[in-house]
Amino acid sequence: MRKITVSMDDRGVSTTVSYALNLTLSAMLISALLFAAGSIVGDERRSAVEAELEVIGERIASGIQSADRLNQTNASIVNLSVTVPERVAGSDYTVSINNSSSPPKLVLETTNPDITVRITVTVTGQLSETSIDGGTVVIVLAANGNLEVHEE
Amino acid sequence: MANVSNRGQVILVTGFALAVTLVAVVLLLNTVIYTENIATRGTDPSPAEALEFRDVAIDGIGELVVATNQDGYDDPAKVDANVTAAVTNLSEYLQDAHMPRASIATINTSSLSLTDGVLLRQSNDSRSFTSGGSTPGNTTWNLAENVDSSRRMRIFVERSSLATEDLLDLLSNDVFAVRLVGATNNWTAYIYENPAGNIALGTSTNGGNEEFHCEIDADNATIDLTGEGIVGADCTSFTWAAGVSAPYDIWFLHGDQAIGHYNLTIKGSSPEIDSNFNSSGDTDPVALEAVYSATVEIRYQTPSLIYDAEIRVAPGEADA
Repeated sequence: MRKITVSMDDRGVSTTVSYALNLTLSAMLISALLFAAGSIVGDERRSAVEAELEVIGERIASGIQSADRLNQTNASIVNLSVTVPERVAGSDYTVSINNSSSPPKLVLETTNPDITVRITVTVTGQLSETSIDGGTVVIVLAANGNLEVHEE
Repeated sequence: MANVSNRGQVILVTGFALAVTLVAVVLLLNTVIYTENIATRGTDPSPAEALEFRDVAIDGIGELVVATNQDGYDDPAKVDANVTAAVTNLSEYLQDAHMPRASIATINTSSLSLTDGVLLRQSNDSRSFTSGGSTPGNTTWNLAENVDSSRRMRIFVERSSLATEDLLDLLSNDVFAVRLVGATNNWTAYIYENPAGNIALGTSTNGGNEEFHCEIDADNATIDLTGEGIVGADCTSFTWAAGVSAPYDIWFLHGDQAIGHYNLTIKGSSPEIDSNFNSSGDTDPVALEAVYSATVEIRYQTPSLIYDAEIRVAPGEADA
């Protein structure tokens, strides 16, 4: 029987190391890939939400301005509904009117992701402050002559 | 020996994770496309259509009031009845016209309220602007006294009949003019031929402050005194009754210095008309029963809009 020398203990080690290295590199590569893909989705979602909030805000502002124009013509009833989506890119949002600045601002907010969009609403009459959940809104002329924005 | 069916699980899981991520990206892109679609859509046209309907109703009722008044009535009840009937017809016509657009456009004729007035008119184009009635032939005469509101004063004149004067001579010479005399101020509009040979419009207040407004080179011209001034000329500086508050008296000065026709509607069921007008018939000038203004409620309704408003129609009123 041949005698086994100490140096022969190294045999087969390279296969194991190579395997371990392979696994490590694969894991790193896969992690990097998933991380990059995840952040792309996150970024895309943010920009999609922001773009959609802006569009929704512009449409609601346009509705408020139309109602304001009608209100200037000695109107007794103005009831204008603006149809917009209830969710933006899977997130709920709120619509509020901020009267502290002049002209008033329409503020649209989502909490996840945390995005706020402000749209200026130029109106001749008065606009009541309010905060409602997103979705189709109704703009009405209140008894005090102010325009109010309600949920449908 | 290793179980070969378990190999490559990490890659498989990664593949699934990436596939899910890609699906999420596609969904987000879909959201963006939808957003762009909404952004490029026109806004709801209903408010613009509602205002268009309102304008059509105001113009339409205005035309009906003017046309009915011109028919010449001696009884206010008759002119009221005819205006009411005409507005009812207009309402039905507008309803039918809007039906194909899935909108309800109505003039609530039961809410129609008419304010009576008197139409002062001369329609004989070859007559000068002198008085008639029981005191005919006066060149400077009073049309009406204590007038609260007047509208649609349109004067058509022939250039050949007008006095040729310079602006600064208007006050001292015989030039046809319309004068409003209020409690404190008076205002005069002069219609004359200027040295350039054009039909010109000038004003003065309280016997001074002569001001030239506009002119037109034509054989004849219509001057809308309660509106734009000389029709077809740029009279942006001209304002009817500037500085004079109601009630006021309306005078014609030097009526022999103009030939043509005129119209004027004043408010009130029995305003103080001087005896310078004939009460009816074809002999000019004549004072006829008329509708001064109309007030009515309108409604415009679509699936996304309800709009109710009250409109007041007084065609040709200076501040309407």
